[in-house]
Amino acid sequence: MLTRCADVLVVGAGPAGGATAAALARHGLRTLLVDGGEPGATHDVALSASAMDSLRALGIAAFDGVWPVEGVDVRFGDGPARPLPGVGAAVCDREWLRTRLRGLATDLGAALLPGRMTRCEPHPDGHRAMIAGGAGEVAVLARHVVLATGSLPGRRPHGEGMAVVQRFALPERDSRMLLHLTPPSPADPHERPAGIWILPAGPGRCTVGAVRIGDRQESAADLLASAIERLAGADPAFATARPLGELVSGPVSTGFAPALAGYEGRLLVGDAAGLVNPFTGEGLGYAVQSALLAADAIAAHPDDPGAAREAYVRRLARAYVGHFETARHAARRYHLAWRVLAATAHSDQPIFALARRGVLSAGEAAEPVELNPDDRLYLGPFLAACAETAVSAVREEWPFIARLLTTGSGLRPASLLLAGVVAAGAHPRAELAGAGAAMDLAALGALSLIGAPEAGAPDAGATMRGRARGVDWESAVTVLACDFLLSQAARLVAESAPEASWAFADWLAELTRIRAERIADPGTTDAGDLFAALFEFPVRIGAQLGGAGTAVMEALREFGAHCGRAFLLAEDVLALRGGPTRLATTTRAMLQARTSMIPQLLGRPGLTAVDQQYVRATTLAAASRACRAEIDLALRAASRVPVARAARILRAHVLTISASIDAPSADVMERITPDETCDCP
Amino acid sequence: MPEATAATAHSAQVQDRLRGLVAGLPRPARDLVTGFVDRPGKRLRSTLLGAAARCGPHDPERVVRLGAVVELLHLASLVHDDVIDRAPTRRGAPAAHLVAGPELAVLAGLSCLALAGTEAADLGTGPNRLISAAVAHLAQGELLDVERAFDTTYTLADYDELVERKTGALFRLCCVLGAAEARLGPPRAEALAAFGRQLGVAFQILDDCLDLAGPAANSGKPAGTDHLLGLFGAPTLCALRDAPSGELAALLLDPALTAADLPRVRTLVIAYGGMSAAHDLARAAHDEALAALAPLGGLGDGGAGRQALLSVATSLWREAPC
Repeated sequence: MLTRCADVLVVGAGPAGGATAAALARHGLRTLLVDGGEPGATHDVALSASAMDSLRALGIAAFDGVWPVEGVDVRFGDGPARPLPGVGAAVCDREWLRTRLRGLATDLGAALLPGRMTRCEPHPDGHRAMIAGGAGEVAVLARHVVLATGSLPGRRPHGEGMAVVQRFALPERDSRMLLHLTPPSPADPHERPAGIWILPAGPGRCTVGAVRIGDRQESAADLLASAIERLAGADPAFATARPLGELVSGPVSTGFAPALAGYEGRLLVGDAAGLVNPFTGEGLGYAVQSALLAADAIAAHPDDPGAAREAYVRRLARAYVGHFETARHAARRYHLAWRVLAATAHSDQPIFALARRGVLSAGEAAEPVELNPDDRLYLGPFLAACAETAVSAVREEWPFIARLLTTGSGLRPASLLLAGVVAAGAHPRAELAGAGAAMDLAALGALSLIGAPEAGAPDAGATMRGRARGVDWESAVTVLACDFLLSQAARLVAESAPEASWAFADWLAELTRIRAERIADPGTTDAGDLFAALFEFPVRIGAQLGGAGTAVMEALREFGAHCGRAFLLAEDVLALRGGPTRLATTTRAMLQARTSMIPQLLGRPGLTAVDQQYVRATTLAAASRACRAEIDLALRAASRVPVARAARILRAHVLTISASIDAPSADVMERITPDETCDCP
Repeated sequence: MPEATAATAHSAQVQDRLRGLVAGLPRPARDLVTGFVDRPGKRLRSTLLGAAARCGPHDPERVVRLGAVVELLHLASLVHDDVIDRAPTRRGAPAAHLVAGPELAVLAGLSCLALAGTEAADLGTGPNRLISAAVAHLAQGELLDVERAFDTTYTLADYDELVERKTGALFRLCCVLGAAEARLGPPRAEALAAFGRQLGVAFQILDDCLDLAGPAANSGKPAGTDHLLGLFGAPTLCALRDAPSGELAALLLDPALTAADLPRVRTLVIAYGGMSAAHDLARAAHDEALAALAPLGGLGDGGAGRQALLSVATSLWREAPC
């Protein structure tokens, strides 16, 4: 019998397998890609913006077979569809993507092996696998084996279900993507999520997909029919939409657990690793991302499969922190996330909006802070340690919150703490990672303070079944998030930097005072104070821990306060432009929460909306001007910091804010939301 | 000093300290919290701390300050729990979130936590660590408490974990802080920790019984209202476990369940033996707590502390409804 040798055997030539093989071949590894052919018809899939970035990184330059998506909306039950800001996507045909990736892999030097793996066992050189194909059986000796075989039923009973997709003729649809989620039953904590999505699929067409987790006995056709029925409730056109092409269905597994991804000595990628979002059915972005992580891990340890597996599991755990992990409490944690998503679906307050984006999107790349390579190397290990500490403090109890720590803005309080330490002439000791993590957790906890329910907002309960009973989830999650995050932060400070404990608690008292006064008396208080305090503390505490002198401390405190005000004003500017903002919020929500600077900039304390175009233009100009003034003051304060590296890091933070308001998109004025009413005096 | 007198004197000092601390809070928070301080509960937690401290020579002033800290933590958790549970009243007056809205109520609770934090930091690295770790546990308990909403199949093992965090953590903290003030070595400090934890568990189960026992046995809090939130206590969970039919579960999950249905819930829970099963659980936890005190033994100051702890445990049991 013929025996072939390879560094890596990739089993399964779908998008995940193709991407893995391409990435491995690019690393110069001898790669065999086992292609069992694709059963059934093809269908449309959503490509998240981060998936597109990954594909570009792999070397796919032309996206000729891809339809653009103008934006992503989310709808819960009968509620209105609301945009998911900052989430980009496109749609492509799965077979197109599969062919492109497989072609790329072979172009880069991977060998294609038609057939199916019938056996795989350990071998002194790694693995010995049998591949049965048209040309008979082939034995393969490979150091590493990657499984990209799609959903593996039976492994993760908690999170298995079915997905179904079909294309429809629908002339009136726009080119936005819609996620339609069903609110959870308030009285059944064992209910599993069911998600529906609509993808624009070229002129006059769209693709409808549905996913249901759980072992309900239901045919694929029934699942799709009930999805169409739900969609028709909001858009009657769906009632008569004509199907185009075949209905495609298959099992899905959402029960991702990092440790299982190194299962029996193999690396599992994509659906095989349970990387499917149970709320949205999205799996492609995760497939490509996990493929790249697996290839990187193998490339880093080409001769040591054990180390490669460990590295992969570690990287996965970091990349998909808290996403859909199976654990003892997983079912209840899912349900909590689902309840919170549903109860806060109408809110654009930061903590809810960020959570929505964190849970429902495939993970957008963090906004980079521009640092020179040397500073990046210097900061990197410390910030990674901070992130790891922060995540491990919350991931088990509240995995979906942990998600917020790994996505979003690169403007992290932990790096401000580090800048404070460096400014004092000290180096970041490893133990201080706990304090850095505490800064990140506390900032998130403080954000939940401005997550209060909007007065007069349409009661989300109206669209939820039986809201009369049960917990008030919107208020509850504010309390839970803030207690949970702030107490973890305080614990980390007490453990890693006890000398800062008093200052931490005192800062907390200051934040609550500022916020309470702001709510009680918006007319005479300054909206900027809260963010000034939020940014000032990490640099101050860093300086204290580093042993800074008075002059440096003063400069840093000034920097922090101006940087915080600049951050808030940039939020106002970005929100006025129609978003997305770093905190995923809107002008209306900021005014409602009394966090916006606009009322005081305009001298109109009772302002609740900025509607007319000319008011908006004037306001935008005023907010931009004020933001730039704060940026200048922050830069000036940074220039008084004697340590060059610290000054550079501080400057980079301000310049990130500055760059975001300098780059307005061309259609700024067109994105003014028309439905806002003015009830200002 | 006789046991009862010492405890009363300690309580009064804690109350004074607490008043002084709360008076220093900024305006909206102070107004919301002062009422609760002026209408104190049983001061069970600071009494427990004081009793634990009497296991050895200690600085009474520090013990009073620590007592105020644990009462502040308790106060903060009450205010926050009321927001989550939409409780209408607390200690006979309207709950903070009804007076000032949920946002200010959350901030008022948080300012108590912050105040406890600066006090804790002032009292030294050791207590500060213990306190911050316990507060983190309490917050986890808060989370566990709501994420089980409407789960009629919640196991007693999960319930055990929940009450250990939600209630046991603070009782345990009181004992551990007292033990540290009395400079007890590891074996005796651990004995006190176990005592506190188990006493907290017993207390919570009894509290669950009280919640269901009805307004007669209750002071100010309507009976069984947690059931409307889908939060089922020990008697109900025991009854659900042993229920011969699905009637109770169906009733509890009925979206139309109102306060008027609660007597029916209570009747079923009692009929299915839930109340007596919960009572047995509480008794077992209480017995374990008492057994944990065995290593304390001895005479002298340690003996006085043991006596004081036993007295707290006994009065806690005596006030129980079941």
